[in-house]
Amino acid sequence: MSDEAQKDQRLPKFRPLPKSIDRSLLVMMLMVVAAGVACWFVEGQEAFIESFSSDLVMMMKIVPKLAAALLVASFLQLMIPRQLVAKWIGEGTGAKGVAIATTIGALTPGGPMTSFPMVSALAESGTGRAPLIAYLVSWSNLGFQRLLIWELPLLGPTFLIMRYIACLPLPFLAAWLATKIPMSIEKDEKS
Amino acid sequence: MLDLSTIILFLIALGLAVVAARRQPHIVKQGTVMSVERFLAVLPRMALAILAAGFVSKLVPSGPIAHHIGPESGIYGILLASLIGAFIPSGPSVLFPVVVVLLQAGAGFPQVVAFLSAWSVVALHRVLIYELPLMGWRFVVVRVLSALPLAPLSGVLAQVIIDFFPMK
Repeated sequence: MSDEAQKDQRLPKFRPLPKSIDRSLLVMMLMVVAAGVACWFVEGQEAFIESFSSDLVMMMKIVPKLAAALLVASFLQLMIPRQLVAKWIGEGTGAKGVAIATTIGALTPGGPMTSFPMVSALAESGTGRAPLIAYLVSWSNLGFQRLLIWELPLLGPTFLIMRYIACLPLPFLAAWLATKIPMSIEKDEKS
Repeated sequence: MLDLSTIILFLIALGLAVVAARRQPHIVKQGTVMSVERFLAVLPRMALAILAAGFVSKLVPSGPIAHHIGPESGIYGILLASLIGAFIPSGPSVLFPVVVVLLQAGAGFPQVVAFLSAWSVVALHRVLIYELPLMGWRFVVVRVLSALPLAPLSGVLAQVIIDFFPMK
């Protein structure tokens, strides 16, 4: 009996879909089918086949790039401990602090569910707004992970380099603008 | 099918693995497992996204896109692309294929740069889900206000770069 109960606790009540076939993937499959059917009937069979075959060629090019990008992204993620990241951002001040936060932001892997709790903790421990905002802009716009996994394979190195140069000043500008806004960033007490 | 950027990436990965093996050997295995798992998670998404983007780009007439956010649309196109980008509520797996479609349909590079900047930096969907609950509304107001000029500015900078170094 107790064994059964233990087993029950360990097993989830109902099996969720495996991660690789979750809801967003199903939505995307429906989108592909809808777009494919529309393409076939509106533009004709030839357009459908032409699109399909050029997509296959593109995927063949992307697969090795994606594999390499994921290796780099995963190793970097494991080799840069999060506490160290938080420490670096918290320490710098002035323009140097903003430059450090920008560099760290571009190197921080992971989605918003890991970055925002860290930024929130830093804000509460008294880190100024300029490095925090530079960090967020850099992480979202210049972050290496999204760049390696999506931008390089799909848009190519020439576009990526051009965009990176155009966007490099953004974290600094945002940090400077943030210091000009006459408003406290203190979190309101929950009322 | 290996081009230069792929080879460079593999070499960087190898270098990182060598450094990891010296300092923290367990990271080599952990990182490889992590990469394989992510590969299996991202690949079907990317494949579907590319297929959808391919079909949609056959269907979308290139006239309106080229007219509104084409290379000749200038600052108007940059502002329009910035506005649209800020409201796109999706992750990279949908957004980057959309960008591929836009480029194929005649969007200009500076306009696409502005679009990507607005989506990543202003990111109104991320504000609602993560930033507002975690950071409070004051921080959000300050951050969004300081982020608003960034997307158009990056488009203008991209235009300047392209004027100096014409691409293709």
